[in-house]
Amino acid sequence: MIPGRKWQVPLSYGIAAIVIVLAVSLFSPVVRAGGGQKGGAELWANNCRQCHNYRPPSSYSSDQWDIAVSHMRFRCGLTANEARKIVEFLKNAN
Amino acid sequence: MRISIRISLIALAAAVMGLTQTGASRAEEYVSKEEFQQFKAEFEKFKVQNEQLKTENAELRTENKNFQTINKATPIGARLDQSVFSAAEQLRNDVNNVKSGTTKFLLTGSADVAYMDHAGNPSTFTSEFDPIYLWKMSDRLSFEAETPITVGSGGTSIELEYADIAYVVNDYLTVQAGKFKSPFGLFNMRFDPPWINKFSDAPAVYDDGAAGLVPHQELGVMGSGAIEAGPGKLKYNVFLSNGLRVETADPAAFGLFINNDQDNNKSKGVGGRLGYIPIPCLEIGFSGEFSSNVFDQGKQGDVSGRLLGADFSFIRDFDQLMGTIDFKAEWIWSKAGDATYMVNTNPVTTVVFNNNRRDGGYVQMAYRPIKFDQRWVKNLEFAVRYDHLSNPKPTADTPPDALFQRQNHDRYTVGLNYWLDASTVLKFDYERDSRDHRTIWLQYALGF
Repeated sequence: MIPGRKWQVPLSYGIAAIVIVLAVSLFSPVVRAGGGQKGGAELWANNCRQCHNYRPPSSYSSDQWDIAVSHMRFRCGLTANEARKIVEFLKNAN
Repeated sequence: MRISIRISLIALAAAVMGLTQTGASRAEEYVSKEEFQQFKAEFEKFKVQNEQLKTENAELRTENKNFQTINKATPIGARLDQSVFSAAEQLRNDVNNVKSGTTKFLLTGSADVAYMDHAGNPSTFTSEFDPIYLWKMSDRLSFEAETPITVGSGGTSIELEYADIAYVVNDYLTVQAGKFKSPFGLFNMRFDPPWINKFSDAPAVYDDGAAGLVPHQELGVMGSGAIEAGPGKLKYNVFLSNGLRVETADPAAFGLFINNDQDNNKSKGVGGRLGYIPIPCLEIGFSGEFSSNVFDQGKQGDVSGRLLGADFSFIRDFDQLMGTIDFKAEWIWSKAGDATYMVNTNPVTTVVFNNNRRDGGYVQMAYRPIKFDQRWVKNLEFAVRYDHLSNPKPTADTPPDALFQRQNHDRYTVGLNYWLDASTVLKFDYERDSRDHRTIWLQYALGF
């Protein structure tokens, strides 16, 4: 092993792991990632968990969810359609 | 002839019999004058009653027609007692007025308390409180700010992590101006809060204020948005800011990019990130940031700087594993142009960087057995992370106190988390660094 290049081995493992996960994902059933015709509950589940556990709808009031989802829209890259549906779902479910 | 006579006799007999019968019934049906008068009186009475019923019936028909007309023209809610609605509306307003959030303000954020035992150094407790203030002035206009309050060796400090105003131009573009979180990569913008980060500390490339490669904030203007693209979703961030800036005061960090809160030269920087989500559980992103000059104005000619990054995120439930796999990876390449750095020694010495390149990243995976029946098992989470950072090799003019930071290093972290609820977690981490000793972390973190 070349001195100073010790990291290349774990990096190779990392890249290999990415390729494997990517391959598994591509052979998974095709599900649209964008908002499309999905309901607010499904969009909430798909998007929020990308970063953190689901926070129960009862965590905030309807007005608070309105503010929180606006913040998340540009923090996490929600489409306008997704943000609207997620807020509607959370307001109805809280 | 005989037949005719017979028929005539039969007819005569029948007629006699019929007359006899009729006479008998008339006798039985005979009505006296009193009975007739009584019947007549009753008949007149029924006639009057009938007329009254006809009148009432006509009135009912009219009422029914009027009701049908009103019913068609007015929604059902409007026909309910208005006073009940008014009282309910008043009650709702009263409740909303004392509810947090109706002023379109939300106080959220995170907090954590940790114990760190770094071999060779005194162990210590740390504490941090990160309130986030969100105002939504209208559907288009909002403001966000975060002020971490930390306790350290120098006492309590308050910082302005970010403070920016956001304007939603349309469904595909939001413009932010001010000091905002750098959208470079994944970790800084999304996984930094302690209740979201799977480990007690940040990956080495995002080590804030030490040897990380990526500035955490930018000051300037940023446009961001997301759009459905094919089967997936495309999201973007593009910013114009004070740009990259290199550290020139601390020899150990010479050449590292740091926050540029007060622009140190006339050059501005551009950067951003492009992310694609082909399926809901997967995201791939590329980031970049460029500045034509990263050095202090007038100290020497323009010294360019650039950052490039690639990131990958995957999270999915697996029935076979009875849990969730959360996989993240990022790699970042940094380069600053050739420059000579002055070291404040007596006499002043110099450090020359002719190949100021760094790169590093992390690969991490977490497993949470959420499909087990036992609650305590579901709340567990196992996490592993590999970090790497390559630094420029030391040269003859590298100051002795900068030698440590110029070493390449690998770091391995094993973590065990226990989730008390969706946003409260207890973490235990064991970390071993190739150029350093081991570190043990215990952290309690919550998001509110």
